[in-house]
Amino acid sequence: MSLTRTTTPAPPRARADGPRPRRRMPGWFWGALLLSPAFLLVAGVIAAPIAYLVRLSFTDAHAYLPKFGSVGFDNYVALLRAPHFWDSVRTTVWYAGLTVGLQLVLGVLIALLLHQRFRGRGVVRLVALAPYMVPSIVVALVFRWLLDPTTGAYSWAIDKVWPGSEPPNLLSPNLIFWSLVAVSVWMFTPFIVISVLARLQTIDPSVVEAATVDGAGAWRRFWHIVLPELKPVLYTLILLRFMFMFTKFDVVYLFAGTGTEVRTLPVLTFQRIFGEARLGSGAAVAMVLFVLLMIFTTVYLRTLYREREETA
Amino acid sequence: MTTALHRLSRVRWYLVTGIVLLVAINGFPFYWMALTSVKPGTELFSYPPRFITTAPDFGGFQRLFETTNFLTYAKNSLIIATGATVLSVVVSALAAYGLTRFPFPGSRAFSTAILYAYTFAPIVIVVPLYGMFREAGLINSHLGMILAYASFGVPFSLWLLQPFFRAIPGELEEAAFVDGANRVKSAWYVVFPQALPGLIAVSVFTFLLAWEDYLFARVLITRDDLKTLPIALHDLYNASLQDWPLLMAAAVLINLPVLIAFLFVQKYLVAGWGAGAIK
Repeated sequence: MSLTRTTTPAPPRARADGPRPRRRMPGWFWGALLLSPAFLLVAGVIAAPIAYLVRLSFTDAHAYLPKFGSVGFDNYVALLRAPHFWDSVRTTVWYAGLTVGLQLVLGVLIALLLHQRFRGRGVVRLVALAPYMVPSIVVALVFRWLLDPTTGAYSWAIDKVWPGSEPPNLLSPNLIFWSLVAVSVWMFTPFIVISVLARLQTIDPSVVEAATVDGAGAWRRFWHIVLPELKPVLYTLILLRFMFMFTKFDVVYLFAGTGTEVRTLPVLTFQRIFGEARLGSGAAVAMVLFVLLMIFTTVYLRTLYREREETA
Repeated sequence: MTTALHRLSRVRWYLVTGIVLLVAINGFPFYWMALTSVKPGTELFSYPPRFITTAPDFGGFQRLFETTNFLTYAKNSLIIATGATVLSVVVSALAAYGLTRFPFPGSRAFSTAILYAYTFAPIVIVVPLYGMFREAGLINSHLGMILAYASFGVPFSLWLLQPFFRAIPGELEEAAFVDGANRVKSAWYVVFPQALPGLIAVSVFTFLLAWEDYLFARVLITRDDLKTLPIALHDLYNASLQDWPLLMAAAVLINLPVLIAFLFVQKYLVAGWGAGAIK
């Protein structure tokens, strides 16, 4: 207590005045008051748009003209009947599934690596986390330049390692999906690394040491001690990251999304609205994403609360 | 003894290989970006590519400043990102303090709603926001962009800040009350300094969110003189002739503040992410 008092820079004079009589407002009043700006902002720029989105999805609204008429469920019916919508769903699931899987495996490996003690660890950690900080547009441009079929450094390197009759074109329609997966993994793995690393640091090192003394090899220590500790984090990460990758727009569109080869649901939404100017129809695609997000979030929150109750 | 030594050196070898691979894979694109920005035209398209340059040429940077409105775009980005950060951090710090100190009926529901809002994808929000902003006349305005980014920053910030505020013991504040401080003083002098790592982490996060965003800026801004850096860079890329040194010079300059900020606050960021982002 004495320690806290010395760190409190309250004016000493105030003490001599004694406790001043204060008008007391009930606690909930202050709580609501303090919360109101956040509430207004989130309600105005997130909740209201969602309500508006629902309405838009039942209209034939045009993206640029003031056309706005009700069409009932037409947008949804047309969407569910369109084969390219289902192609898009498939692409999105593949994209999210592959990128999350690869990110998890690589992320855990890198976190384990960075958890070791070695000289220059601080610098290596910075380099390991750096890709996460780069704007999507920069990532997209730099990798399109690196993978350029005629002058790209990576195209050249791949041709050296694995010489074919002609240099590979990793930006061609049939390969760009795989390039996009690689670029996305490069960009988003650091988030997994940070989360796993934070968890690793809370594992009691004496347990791991004891296992080492008992003769457990590195693999067994990982499998029987470290992995069970990481399980809740990994489960949360799978859910969160799947949601995140499923709805990822920026890097998908900027690196690969201007055509039809990699048309994930977010890209389809964007193309409908700003390419074809069909705001109502695009809103229906956005609604599909919204409903999926709600389901995922509900599942995620359930597990989060369950975990909290278990640890509490 | 020899087997133990042997095993140790094998582990060491794995470690070194892993570190070298990691640094090379993560670092090379940054190197290539910086290198391209200063490569003279004669080396640019050589095959095999040149991995160093002997005659650095800053023509890319020069053309960037002389032939494009780069400084205008940078100014827009700076205004919008700073505005969104200030608004978002103030609003979420107040709300986090309110939620942790004055629980009231519905505050738990609010927390849950915030979590839902956090998972909303930009692509879902931007569609109706475009319609609403068009009607409200907020297209092509700094204010509209600041509101949009701040509203995206708040859910994350609030979620991340709550554990920081909750971790500050109530006795600390009570001690301040005994010393005669009122609510506002105790919050300002006692609570907020304790929550500083969290506040720094969310400030950086919100700034980066606004600084790096492509989608909202693309949709909500159509005038050239209001463009932010990411959409300006994309438009330069889509121009008929791709001037790679110029593009990479712009990329370097967009990245620079990000990497510098990251260097200074990475400790807080890692702590913040560890504490709040992932339970």
